[in-house]
Amino acid sequence: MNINEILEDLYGLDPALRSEEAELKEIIKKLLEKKPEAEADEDFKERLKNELLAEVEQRRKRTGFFIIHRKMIVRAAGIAAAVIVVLTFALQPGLLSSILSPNRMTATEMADSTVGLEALEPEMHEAEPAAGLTIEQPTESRDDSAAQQKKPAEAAEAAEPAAQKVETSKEESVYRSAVTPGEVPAQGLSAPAPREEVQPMLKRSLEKSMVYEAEDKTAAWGEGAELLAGVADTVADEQPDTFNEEYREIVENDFIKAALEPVSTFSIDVDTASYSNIRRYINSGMLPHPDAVRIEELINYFTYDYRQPDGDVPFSITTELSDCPWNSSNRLLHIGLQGFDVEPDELPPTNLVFLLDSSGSMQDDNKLPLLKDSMSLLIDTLRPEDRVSIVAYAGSAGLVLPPTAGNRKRTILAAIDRIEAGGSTAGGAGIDLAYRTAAENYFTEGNNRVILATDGDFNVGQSSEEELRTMIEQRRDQGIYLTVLGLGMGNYKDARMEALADNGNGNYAYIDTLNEANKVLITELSSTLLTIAKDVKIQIDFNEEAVDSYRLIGYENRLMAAEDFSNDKKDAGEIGAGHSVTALYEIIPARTGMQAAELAEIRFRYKNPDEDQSQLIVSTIENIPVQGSKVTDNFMFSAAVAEWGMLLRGSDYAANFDIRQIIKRASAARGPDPYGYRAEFLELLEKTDDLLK
Amino acid sequence: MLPFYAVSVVYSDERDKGCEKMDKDPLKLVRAAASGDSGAFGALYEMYFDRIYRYLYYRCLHRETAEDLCSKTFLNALDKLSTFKPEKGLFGSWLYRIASNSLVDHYRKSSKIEFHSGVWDLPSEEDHVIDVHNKLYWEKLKPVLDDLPAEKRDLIIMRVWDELSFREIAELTGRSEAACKMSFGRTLKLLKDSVPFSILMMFITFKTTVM
Repeated sequence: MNINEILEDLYGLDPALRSEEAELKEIIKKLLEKKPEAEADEDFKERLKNELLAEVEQRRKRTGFFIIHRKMIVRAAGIAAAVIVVLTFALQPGLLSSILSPNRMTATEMADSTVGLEALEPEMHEAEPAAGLTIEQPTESRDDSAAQQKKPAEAAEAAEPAAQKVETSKEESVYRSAVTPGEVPAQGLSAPAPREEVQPMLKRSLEKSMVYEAEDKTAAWGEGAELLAGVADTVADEQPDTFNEEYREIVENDFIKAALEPVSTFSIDVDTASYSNIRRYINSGMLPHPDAVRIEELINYFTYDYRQPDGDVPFSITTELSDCPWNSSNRLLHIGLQGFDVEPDELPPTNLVFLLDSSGSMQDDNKLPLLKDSMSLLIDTLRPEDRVSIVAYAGSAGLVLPPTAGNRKRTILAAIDRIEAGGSTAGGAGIDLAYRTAAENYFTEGNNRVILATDGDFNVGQSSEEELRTMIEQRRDQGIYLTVLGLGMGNYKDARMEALADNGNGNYAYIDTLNEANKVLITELSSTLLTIAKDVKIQIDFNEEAVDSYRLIGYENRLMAAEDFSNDKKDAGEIGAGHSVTALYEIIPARTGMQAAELAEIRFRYKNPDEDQSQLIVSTIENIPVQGSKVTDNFMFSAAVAEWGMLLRGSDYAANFDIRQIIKRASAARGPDPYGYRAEFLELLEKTDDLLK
Repeated sequence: MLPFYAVSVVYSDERDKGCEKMDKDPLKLVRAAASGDSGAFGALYEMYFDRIYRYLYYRCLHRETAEDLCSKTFLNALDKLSTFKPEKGLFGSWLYRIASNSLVDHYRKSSKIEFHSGVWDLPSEEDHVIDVHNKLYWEKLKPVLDDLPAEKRDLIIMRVWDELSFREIAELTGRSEAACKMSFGRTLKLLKDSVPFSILMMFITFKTTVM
């Protein structure tokens, strides 16, 4: 027995154990010394073997005999059934078509189904679980015995239909053997209502989302048509607004039993694109595509009133536990990170390369013209030490503006003005040129960033897309990060753009209005441009004595394996200056858990921007819920945003949501709201209410 | 004696691969055995008997009981061989699962119980027979392991005595590998801080120094 091997396995998950290595080794050694002597008796081994082999032989003979007979019986039954069928229809010909059309069956199949192989082969089926008990493999024999054990109880409760009982034990067995977080069913929890029982308003939203699915299929066809006709843009423009938009499917996080899987790990996410994209949908009178709703991005669109960090850690950590606003029997855990703030003047010099998509598809008012206006806003804030370059790509990529100092605003604005949309997109060449330009003007002590603005419709093939990704990753490692600005509608490739930004240590925002451009490029300039911590990962280790089950709201695309938490090679999200990140867990408290003092241990890993080794922060969350007026606006507002997201996604957990209640809670928790974002959210809630009616 | 019997006792993927090389892939054997090939079943038996026997023995510390449970386990496995699905896990884990269920059946006093780690779960005063040669171990270890919840205690036994890999333990218990590792690490820490364990450590050190 290799003690080191045992311990190495553990360090991957919990490197802190390494500090206690000597003692742990000693423990295992002592346990090994006390291992009981357990040599089997050779005679017994031989005897049992012989008995078993005899049994196998006996069974083989029986089964062999049975197989021959089974075939004969089945065939005979089949022939008999066929004769009956023919006779029946010879007498009543009209029946033939009415029966054959819905259910085409061969005579043998009919024999199988009518005579029933089960009845014929008790032997063969004995080994299989009893009817209804389609049991996950490892639990089999236990479940069989469990079912037997249940029999007396069943008899006692004769009022209950037996079938229902069997169903229950099936559920139990599946539940017990659930292995991965995503697969754990919410059985025994505040179970989600089946779709058929969803409230009328949600039903409508589901119907609408079905329409989108149909549109997606048309879109796939549409793409082929575009290639053939070569009139991509005109086709797209004539189609409904969501035509050709692509979203990655999101499978909503389920409740996970803390006893089975106490640890939850995910990467932070600073993207906000989903919010503005949804706003675009709702403002144009439609409910969004369900997969366009990434709840974490909705929550993180807003800043919260977290305390500023002190000490060496670049961000502060706030946790809050209270009753779950949408389900009073559950709790909600709110986790907030706040990156340190930097005054615009204190920002190190910035080397920005704009990479503008100026292809034909960008000529709509809400694309290139909006982008040009947005850039003008940004140019106003540049300082003499900053550098700006512009690369446009359409047909062929070109340097529209060579690196220019930030105070030469008129030169820059004139260059922006000259850009016009036309031609098809050669995204790959454009990105290449943009990165080269950024590298040539690299500021060792500054921010180096390519800002890609596009509707996402690059003309790069499958293989070049992989190359593109590799290039973005290589450049990221050299210190040039990527920000992606999404624009426009009708041709929008959400999934691809999000993936690109993630690979480039960047963020991804969607610009639908000049106001949003102002938020992304001016108000949040520092967080967009200055990364203060990279590869930020969060791991919560729930105390099973306090927590029965937990569910991470959103972050579906950011989940990580527990062992990747301590693996510095695994990439995770970045946090920018002044940026805040918020995550919510819905928690079902353990029945006996009221006394448990500790709810969970929370661990953070992050790297300083110029380091490769991660830092670890560990703290505990007490199992003391905040009550009544002490609950913060942060808590209530973020919960309302999450509820809205669940409602828009048609979430299983949103079946009983009342949007008027959400509006009430959100407006009560609105807080100072200096830029009016929260007021705008309240308007969106009202519009959502109208759309759901 | 068959050649693969001499292969390392530690069960691992490598061992599966090693068997494959010798044309003794457990999967092939399982399939052949399921269709009535007694030679294949015999090979499987040789492959797993010692490990399964020890697994049962560590949990009952009584030879006759272990032999009885071992017979039940293999007979049960023979019954259900055709229901084994390789995509759901290793054959070894499946077999251990059956052994574990036999153990539960043997020690079960109430129908509610879902898990049992044999004598370790019984209250000390309860009447049970333990082989004389292991009585000393039992008396020393029982108070130490008694402090642990049953699942955690069994996890320690599975990893340290049974030498099961975390993957096998995960498949056997229906938890994830990471959860098993996490729990194992925590249990070691618990043991480190537990009073009876420090007494045991002292006892052993004392004994060795005297000798």
